[in-house]
Amino acid sequence: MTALASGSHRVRLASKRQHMTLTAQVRLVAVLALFGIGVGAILLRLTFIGVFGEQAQAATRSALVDPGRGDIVDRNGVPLARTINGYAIRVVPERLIGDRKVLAGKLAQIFPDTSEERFLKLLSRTKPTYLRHRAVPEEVNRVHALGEVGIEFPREKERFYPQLQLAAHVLGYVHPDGHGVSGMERAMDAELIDPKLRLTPSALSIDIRVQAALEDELGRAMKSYDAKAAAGVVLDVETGEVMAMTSLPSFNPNQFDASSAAFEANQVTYRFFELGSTFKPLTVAAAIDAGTVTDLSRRYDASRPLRVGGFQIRDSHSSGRWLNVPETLVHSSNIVTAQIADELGPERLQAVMRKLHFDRPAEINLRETVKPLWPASWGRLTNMTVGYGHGIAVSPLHLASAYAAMVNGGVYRPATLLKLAPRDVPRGERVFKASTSARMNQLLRMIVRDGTGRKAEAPGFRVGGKTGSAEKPGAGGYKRSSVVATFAAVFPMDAPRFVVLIMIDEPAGNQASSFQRTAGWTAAPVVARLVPRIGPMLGIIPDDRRDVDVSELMPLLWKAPVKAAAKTKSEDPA
Amino acid sequence: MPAHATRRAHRAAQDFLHLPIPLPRPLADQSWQAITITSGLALVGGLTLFSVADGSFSPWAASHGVRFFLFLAVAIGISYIPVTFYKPLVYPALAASLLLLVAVLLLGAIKGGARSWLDLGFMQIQPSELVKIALLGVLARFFETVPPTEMRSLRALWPPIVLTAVPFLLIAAQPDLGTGMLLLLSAAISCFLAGFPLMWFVGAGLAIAVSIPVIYTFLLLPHQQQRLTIFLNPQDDPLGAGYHVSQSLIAIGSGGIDGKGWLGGSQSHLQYLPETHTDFIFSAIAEEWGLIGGIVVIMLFGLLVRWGMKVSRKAGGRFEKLFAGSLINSLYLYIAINLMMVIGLAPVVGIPLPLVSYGGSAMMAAMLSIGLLMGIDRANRRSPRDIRP
Repeated sequence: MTALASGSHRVRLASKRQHMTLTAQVRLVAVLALFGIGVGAILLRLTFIGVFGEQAQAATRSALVDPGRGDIVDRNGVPLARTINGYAIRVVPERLIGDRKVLAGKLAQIFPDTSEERFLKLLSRTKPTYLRHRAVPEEVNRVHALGEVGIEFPREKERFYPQLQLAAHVLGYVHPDGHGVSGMERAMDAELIDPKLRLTPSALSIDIRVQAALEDELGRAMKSYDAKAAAGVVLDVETGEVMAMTSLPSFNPNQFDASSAAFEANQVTYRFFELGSTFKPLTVAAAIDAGTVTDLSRRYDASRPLRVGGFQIRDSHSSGRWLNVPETLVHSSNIVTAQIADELGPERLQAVMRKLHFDRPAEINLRETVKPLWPASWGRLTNMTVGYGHGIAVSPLHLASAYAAMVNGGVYRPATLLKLAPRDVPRGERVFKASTSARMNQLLRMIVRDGTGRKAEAPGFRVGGKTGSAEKPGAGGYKRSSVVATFAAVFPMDAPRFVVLIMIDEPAGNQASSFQRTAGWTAAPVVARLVPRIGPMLGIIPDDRRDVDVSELMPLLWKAPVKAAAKTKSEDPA
Repeated sequence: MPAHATRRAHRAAQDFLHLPIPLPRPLADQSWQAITITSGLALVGGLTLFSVADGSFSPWAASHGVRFFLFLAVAIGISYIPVTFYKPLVYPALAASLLLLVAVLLLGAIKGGARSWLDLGFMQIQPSELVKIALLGVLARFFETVPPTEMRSLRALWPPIVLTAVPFLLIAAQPDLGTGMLLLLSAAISCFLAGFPLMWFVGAGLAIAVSIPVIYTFLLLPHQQQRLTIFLNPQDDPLGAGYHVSQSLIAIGSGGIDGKGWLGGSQSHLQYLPETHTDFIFSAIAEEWGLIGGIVVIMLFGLLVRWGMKVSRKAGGRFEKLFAGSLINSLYLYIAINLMMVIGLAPVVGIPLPLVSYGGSAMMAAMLSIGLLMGIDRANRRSPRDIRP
């Protein structure tokens, strides 16, 4: 019985043991299956990250390691705008332990530009408030040393402009909300915050060395001539790339405040002027191109003011004789230019002006562009005044682009602030014949060699160009004392590469300009100083043995009056 | 040993290596599959360590290689120790490793700061790794001795719980919660394989699910809490605790399908990625070799786990079966937790990737396990059970 019982027990035990082995086997398989699911999940997730990684990456990038707004560099890679981790100073009023009044006093000592009362007001608020949006580490240390636990120093992304006020109007600035307000910061806002594009810096066409030279020379001129404002642009005639562009007075985009807002407008693109005599070469070019001027030696009556309807066109400095075409430009005669424009006729002059895009906002990447003041009705008199740059108002950039088209062989290209690869240069639209362009190059050079632009001559750089001194319209007609002095220069004239446009708004006519306000005495000397500085940077080597050949036209200039004019230089017309 | 068994093993190795000439017996009688897979993984590790050191053998790649070969030799040596020899020694081994653990704790208390390793001069060992292997051995031994009829009684339940709780508490006190939890999981799987009623696991699972919020709030230190919550949402704290995972995801994502090429990973080279040589080495692999490289590594691990499972399945004795199963499960857990951590599916717990990551202690633990498995494999080759189809 016992044996039987123990026997059956053993059988049961054996079957139990077998069952256990089976259980272990089954469970091993179950664990393996579970592992399989685990590996499957890992593989799935990995595939997701690897294959759809771009999106996942972009999303995580922007949220996690936010590099902030993309950098802006100049054409040589010099940083113009960067995003850095800066300090802000913030107060959480409920955590303040010290006396607010004392604290405000101490803060005012550290930041002299903010008053004690203002700090007290900020400290007295109930909600957390920024004391400074931006502070340098030194200031942060000093505030930290005050030992106030209610003040904290959050690290914040900040836009930093290492070149300070240089090219401020080109760059613009960024609103604390992270979007560009003006300049390229505004124009390229989408690209600069695009998660992919912002990883590579955006290269502008600006060359910061040229920009610095332009701002330096222009700023000095503005100061010495006691002018209200000044603007300048250097433009590549072959590509439309802007090498430098400035509008003075400038501002520091690092500290944009109410005082900078007054200078925020970019005068190169956002203001229009009657640019006056600088239009004359365009009119002459249009006439040569159309075939109404075939003979440059043909003379026009400039001995007395021209009467059209009830209106008199006169020269600011009458030569009192008949002038041929080169003499017209060299002496800047309104009377003759009006006659040339009249012969050309309103339709054809208007067509050229339209081809030069004077009838639409300046073409550039900036959003701050102005629509020119285009004559409402283009009658005979309007046609004649437009011929010498009155009755039409365009931005300085319009004029620079037009000059580029006139000297580069006759092709108009829109200006750009972005660095262009050779293949990206637009083909452009033909405005003038190449032969017309070549002729104009000779004439522009003659103006600097022997005409109103003599003070723009920079030895070896073959500068050509045209002065323009337009009186500003005020209440009750033009004001003789407020002049916009412009010089549109091109160099080197034998193979034009760059247009340099200098504009000085209301020079006082003091000793620095020999008591003259006209462009020949104010804007032209800036070109003479600027071109030798920027020429070598732009690859133009001064060479006395090269120049555009003007020998065939020189005999057309009647020398005697020029010499006579030399004695009375102070009355140079422009 | 039965002659036919050795012949069979010989033939198997011959088939595996596709050699035209017969191998000498001692060479044939090795777990070539395991040796090949582990060598492949160590090679991947070495190449990556070479790359993350900016193309240099120092400080990691060279010693990684040397250690691997050293421990491979040790593993092969271990595989010759018969199971019957070490089976009675598992309890003393657990006691000895626990003593080491206590020693480390005391040393840490004396020298200040958390310490989880012993410095042997040429390498540092983490006693917790040894404890884990010893514990799995003890559990297998215990379950072997429990009569099958008793498996459903509570008398079979409390010894494993006590045996696991002691090392777990000691490790958690270091504090190294990650390793502690892995120990717990390994022990649980061991119990599952041993055949505890399924309901116990379901019940325990439910109990844990309920107690997690309680543990989170009352037991975890703030930095541990943070690690857990950040894992759920790394974007919440990109520069703090979520940094590791965020950077890791960027690295893996930027690798794409075919990767940036060896030595070409910017995330790992520019040190955006933390701990590329240890915990986050897989991100560096995925960045440089892309999805394809990552899948190859996972497949190698898959083959290794499959081999280990096969060893366990074919094992004759209950102890061998359970020990082999527990060892390979534990290894799998390490692999899975590390991979999941790197791809953001698990919290960052500081678990290296076995055989691939740099680190002597982890390498030693993995190769010890492999060695023990190879020993059981050798026994399998010689047992008649192998004849079974």
